[in-house]
Amino acid sequence: MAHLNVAVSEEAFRRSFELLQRALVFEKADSKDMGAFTAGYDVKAHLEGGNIDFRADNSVLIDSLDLKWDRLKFSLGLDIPEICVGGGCINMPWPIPDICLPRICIFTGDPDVSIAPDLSSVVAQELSLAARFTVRYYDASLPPPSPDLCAPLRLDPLPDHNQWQLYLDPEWIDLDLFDFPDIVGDLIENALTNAVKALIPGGWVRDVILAIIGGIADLIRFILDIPDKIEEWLNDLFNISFGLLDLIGQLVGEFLGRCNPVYRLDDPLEIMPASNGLIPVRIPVRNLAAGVNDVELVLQADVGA
Amino acid sequence: MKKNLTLNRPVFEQQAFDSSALTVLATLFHRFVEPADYDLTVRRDDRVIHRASVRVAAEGAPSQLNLDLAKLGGEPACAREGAPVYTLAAGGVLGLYASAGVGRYAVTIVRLDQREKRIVLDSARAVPAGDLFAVTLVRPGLYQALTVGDQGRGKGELRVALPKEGDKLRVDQATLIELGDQGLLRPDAAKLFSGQSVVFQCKLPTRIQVQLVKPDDAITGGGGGGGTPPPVGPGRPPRGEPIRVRREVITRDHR
Repeated sequence: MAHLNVAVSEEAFRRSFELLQRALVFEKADSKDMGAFTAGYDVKAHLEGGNIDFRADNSVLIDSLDLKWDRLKFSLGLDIPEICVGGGCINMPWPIPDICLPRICIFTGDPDVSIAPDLSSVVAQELSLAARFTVRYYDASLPPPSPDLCAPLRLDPLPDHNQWQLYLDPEWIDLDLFDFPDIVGDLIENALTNAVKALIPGGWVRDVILAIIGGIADLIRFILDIPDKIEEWLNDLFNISFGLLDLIGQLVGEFLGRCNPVYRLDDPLEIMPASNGLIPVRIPVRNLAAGVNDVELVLQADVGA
Repeated sequence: MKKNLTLNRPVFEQQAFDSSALTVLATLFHRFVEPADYDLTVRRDDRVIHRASVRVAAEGAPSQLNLDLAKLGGEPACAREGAPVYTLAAGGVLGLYASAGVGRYAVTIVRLDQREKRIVLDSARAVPAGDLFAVTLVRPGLYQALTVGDQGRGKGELRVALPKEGDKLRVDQATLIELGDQGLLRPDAAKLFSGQSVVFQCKLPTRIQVQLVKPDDAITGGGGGGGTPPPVGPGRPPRGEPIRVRREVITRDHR
């Protein structure tokens, strides 16, 4: 039978978990050259809310965590293809060879346009995870890990003494796909249209150029190689090409499961502080184990040498 | 990354064309019928800017070469040594045009392999028989084509319009007009869309002028056209369902 038994209720655990949750911030920026266009993102997010459920199978379910975007900037740069007049070939009667006319281009150089709208106010996602408690023993006499992959994620420095550490190690993390509303498609199309129009002088010149390119909306879809809805293309970009969902899941998993314990227990454990010139009383802790039932988290350990 | 971008303004500002002074949107095609060596001289605003040789071979050479006059210049005007040599097949065509700028060009081609110097092309005087002159018309409106030759004058009408919304605009479609006896144009009227070209084929030496006489201010608005949108690609995850990121659980024990 264990010498030490500690029970932590769901509510008490929630308060501890919330401290970690508040410190978990996802921030990243990147861009990809897709040939005819470049697409990138500059994002920052945090977690709010969530329900904690201790389960009888020794696992913890945390669901309905809101992934709140503090910043979700999407950058898009288009290479406008050459816009030219003339060209083509004319069939001539023998013996004259067919004659090809030169193309005269409207811009000297390839024009490009770029936009960077912030979509944070129109995206909402939820995250859920199921985890088990994992106990690890930190031996301060050993050299620190190298490379230290937790260095950018760790909230507290590595302790200078031995310590039992209890981690909440996710087994799976569910994250809602990006699902941009129709309004986002309109926003992007309008921004690109205005950017293209800004390149072109007004009046009949604009009418001619728009007639040649077949309309800006069609030109944008041609360059981006997308079907009707821009927001569906954007969903694919964020869900697949950028790999943001994987990055977020990886961050949450590493943050909780490897880098930041939810509870710590010093070894030896100080049970009486120093007083009246006497040294503090400490007892060694052995064999710490953690388990969960549907009511509480139970920690058990042996004390003594 | 922003790139330097300049609108090619002469494309929109050039509204009068003359075969005796080549500008942007005008192209002169000279046909070399006989194999020989020729001397090419290009003048811009009466100043020689380029000399070259044209070697016309019986076979084994390209049948068309287009030379951008706007990119010439910089080399000594009278230099023959080191001058470029263009090679064409007999019966082939040299196209002379300017892609940008406001220069006005004239071209002279002289045949070298005979006892007497024979000028086969002096564009400042006329487009010789067998040659072609093309203009690309951008500004919508009514243009007048005038021809002046030894045997008479001719007149034609060219109507340039924007396509109706929904119509597909192909700028690479050209209209051929023959200049026959007495300078008459056949056909003497043509309709084309903005950005398309008219090619005049000369049966006799002729000087050709095309001029905008009435711009069309009632623009019908562009847009439309374009092809069918590409099909939806495969592999898109179903909407609304979360995805599961599985993690391998690894225990790192420091004890």
